[in-house]
Amino acid sequence: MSLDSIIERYRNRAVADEPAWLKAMRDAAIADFERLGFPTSKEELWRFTNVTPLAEQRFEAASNGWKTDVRDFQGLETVRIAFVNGIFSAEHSHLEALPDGATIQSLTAVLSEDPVRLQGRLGELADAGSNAFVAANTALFADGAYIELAEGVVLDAPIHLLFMAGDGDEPFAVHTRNLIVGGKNSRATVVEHYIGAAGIAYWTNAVTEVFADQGAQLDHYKIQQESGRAYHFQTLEVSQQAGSRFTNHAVTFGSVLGRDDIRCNLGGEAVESVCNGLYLLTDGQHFDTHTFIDHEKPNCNSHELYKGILNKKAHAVFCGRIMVRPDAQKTDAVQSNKNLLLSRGAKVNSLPQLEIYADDVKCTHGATIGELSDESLFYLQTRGISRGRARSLLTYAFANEVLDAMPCAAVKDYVEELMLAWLQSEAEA
Amino acid sequence: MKTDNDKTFQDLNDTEYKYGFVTDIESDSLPPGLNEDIVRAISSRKKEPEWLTEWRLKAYRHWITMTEPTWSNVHYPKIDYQALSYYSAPKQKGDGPKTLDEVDPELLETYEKLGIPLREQEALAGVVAVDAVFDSVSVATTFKGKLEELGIIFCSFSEAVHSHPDLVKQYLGTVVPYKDNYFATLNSAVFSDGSFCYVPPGVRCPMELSTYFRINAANTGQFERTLLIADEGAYVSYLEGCTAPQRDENQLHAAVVELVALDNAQIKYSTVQNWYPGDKDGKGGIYNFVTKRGHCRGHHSKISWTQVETGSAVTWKYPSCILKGDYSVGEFYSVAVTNHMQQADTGSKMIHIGKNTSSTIVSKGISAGRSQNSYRGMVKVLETAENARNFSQCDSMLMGGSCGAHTFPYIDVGNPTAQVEHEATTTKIGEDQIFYCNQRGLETEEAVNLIVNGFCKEVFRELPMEFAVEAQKLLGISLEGSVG
Repeated sequence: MSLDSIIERYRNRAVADEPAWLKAMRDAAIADFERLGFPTSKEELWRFTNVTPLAEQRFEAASNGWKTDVRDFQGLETVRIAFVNGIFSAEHSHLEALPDGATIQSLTAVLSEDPVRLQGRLGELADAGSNAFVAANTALFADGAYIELAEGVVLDAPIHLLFMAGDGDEPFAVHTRNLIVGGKNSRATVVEHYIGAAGIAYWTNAVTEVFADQGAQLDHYKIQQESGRAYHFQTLEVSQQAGSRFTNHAVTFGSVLGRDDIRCNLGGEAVESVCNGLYLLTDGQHFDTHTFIDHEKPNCNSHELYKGILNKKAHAVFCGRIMVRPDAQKTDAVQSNKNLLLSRGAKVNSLPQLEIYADDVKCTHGATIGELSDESLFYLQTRGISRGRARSLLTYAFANEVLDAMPCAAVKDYVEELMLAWLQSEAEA
Repeated sequence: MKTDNDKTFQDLNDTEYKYGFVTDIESDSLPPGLNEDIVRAISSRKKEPEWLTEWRLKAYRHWITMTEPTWSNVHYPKIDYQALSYYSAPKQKGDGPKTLDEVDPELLETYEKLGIPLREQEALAGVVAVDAVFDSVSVATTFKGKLEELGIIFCSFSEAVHSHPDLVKQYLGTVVPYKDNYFATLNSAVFSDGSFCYVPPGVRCPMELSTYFRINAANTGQFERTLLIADEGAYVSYLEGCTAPQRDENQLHAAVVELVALDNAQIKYSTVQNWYPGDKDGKGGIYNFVTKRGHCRGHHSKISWTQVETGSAVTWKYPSCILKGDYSVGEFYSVAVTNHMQQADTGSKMIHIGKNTSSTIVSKGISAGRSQNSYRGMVKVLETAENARNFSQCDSMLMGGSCGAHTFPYIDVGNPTAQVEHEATTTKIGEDQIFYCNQRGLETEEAVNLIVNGFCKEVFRELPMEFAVEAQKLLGISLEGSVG
């Protein structure tokens, strides 16, 4: 149903004035999508995530603006590029005071003004041929953020990419495409922030491609606060050159069904890659994280820490694959996935995987699943703290490890507040 | 172009044709190929009752609807199942070497290192095939008398089908159903023989039961089936020794092992697998596709798997425990060594169903040469499994830059009271450790042996004593020449 409607939408779309290479890319992508179809649980990579509800839903094209006022995102109001239902909104953006050499624009603006800048970067990393979600996005994306940092440009303030969804009577789909290019020795913090009006149903299908050139340092955050009825799928593709450092911190609160596909290609020597995540799920939410850390070259480090807190009938999937290619000697790769089950009915599938083809490496992974320790709870109770508060306190402590690793204090504070609110509402419910 | 393995399979058939089938041998063999008539013929040759023939046929009919699995991390040329012979007579006299002088001296050297007495060496090398078979049978018989006093039934599977059909019928296929997986289904259709053991309630089997007699059978039967039942409160320790290095032939070995432990019963199953791994370039060797599963049916039951895997060209094996009874315990201790071109994809499955069940997985993988060694395992805690507990540890050691070590655990937890931990590390053998040993006057090879044995100690300690000694020596032999 949705498959046909997507193909139909592509055929019927108003043909934009786009460069020939992009048209060819979109044509190939829709053909890929038609061939692949939505994944089924028979495919190993989709074994635990059933996308049937999404595949059977018909989505309208997104339109309209979000009439509600933008909330105040404390500490995150510096540089902002905002999108409402996938379309760039100048009203909600603050793009003044950018240093020379830093470009932050909507992708459509770049496409109409200077499309050559995108050629050879856009679609280079995300493979439409093997991933139906990337294929649908490539065929149909309307807009997204484009960030380019020239050599040596340093941006201290975080760049806030705000994606808002609201005002839909019918379920609608938003295909967002972001491209981030960190030139040589550039440095920046990018916060991707997805937020949806409560109770509306829509499908966010985002693809973000990140290039970290030699010596670049990029800190990437993703805060996912989609509506409780939303489907959220994102593919994050990262290409790292020698001496670069990329960190990713993903925090998930929203969506009824969602998935992050993260792939970091460590394509140069002395690269550092960090992928952390925290998912707080409740009440029938299903969230899936797939990471693939590809060590191609020697002397690289990668660290992964994913933590999950699951309440009620929530279901989390984590699949982390670390590949160490024959050439990647002296690799140091660490991966850890820890899950806390707060109640009956919650379910976790954890698949930490190592594939190692080089001998002089240090690779470890670990996974734990369990509930709060009775002893710790009892200890706090003997100190006069109620059991409910003790539970919240210990849950907070469990999650804090991920927050502590966030280098940007403003983002950390923002997420911490969200987390405390989440704990509060779960404790009351 | 035909691949080596195709050629080897072809050679096998050619050999049979070349030597021709003279009377008595012909009567004992079936032509290559697999169809319902062949399945019926196997069954009738073994004079099996109607229900078993039907069971085999059901399995065969299901097997033809299945496709060979490709998900494992091993690669081998496609097997032509119609080119194999599913029931072949014991080795022809003309085929094997006649005296020890004809046996490959390298092979003899290996036996020497293992400390196997000359008499046994002959048997292992297949020199005196017929005698050895008789030997083994008589050995088994001596044990049998002693065991019968205690009510323990220990015999070949075909014998059990005739002497204890009710027991076989009651338990066969209840742990590994005939529809289970491609190789298990194939085995269900064509299994040749195997062992059967039943330990009655409250009996503690006084000696280690061993399947050494199967070594010669392995020359012929590639599809054995083992069924082991420990009734309430019984205990049995079972050894499976595949320590017969085979000659240069590429055989498919698809065995099935089913264990059933009732209330308070304990089964300890130890394997030292050293099938012929092929030569340095990966020519020849056994394809070892084995389904092993234990069912802790009763409360407080315990099944413990210990395996030392050094042989086979390709290993595909996941000894598992279904922990159905409350308070049941599953254990898996494994050392898997791969060298040269060997490939191993092995691990364990622990399915927690009952309350307060616990399981432990300790897996040590050592890869050398150009081999690939994968751990693949699953820990599943169902919603019913209150207070389930699992600890898994998978350590890999890499020797040399052309091998691979991989870990693919699956952890599925559906009960919040469960406590599941998984840890995996991959390292190379420590240069400083080797240097330290060198400094104390140990050769590098000895040093490697020492370090590797230390690395595996956690598993060896679980093996019965005689086996542990043998396993340690085997390890040394397997890794010979892997450190330059």
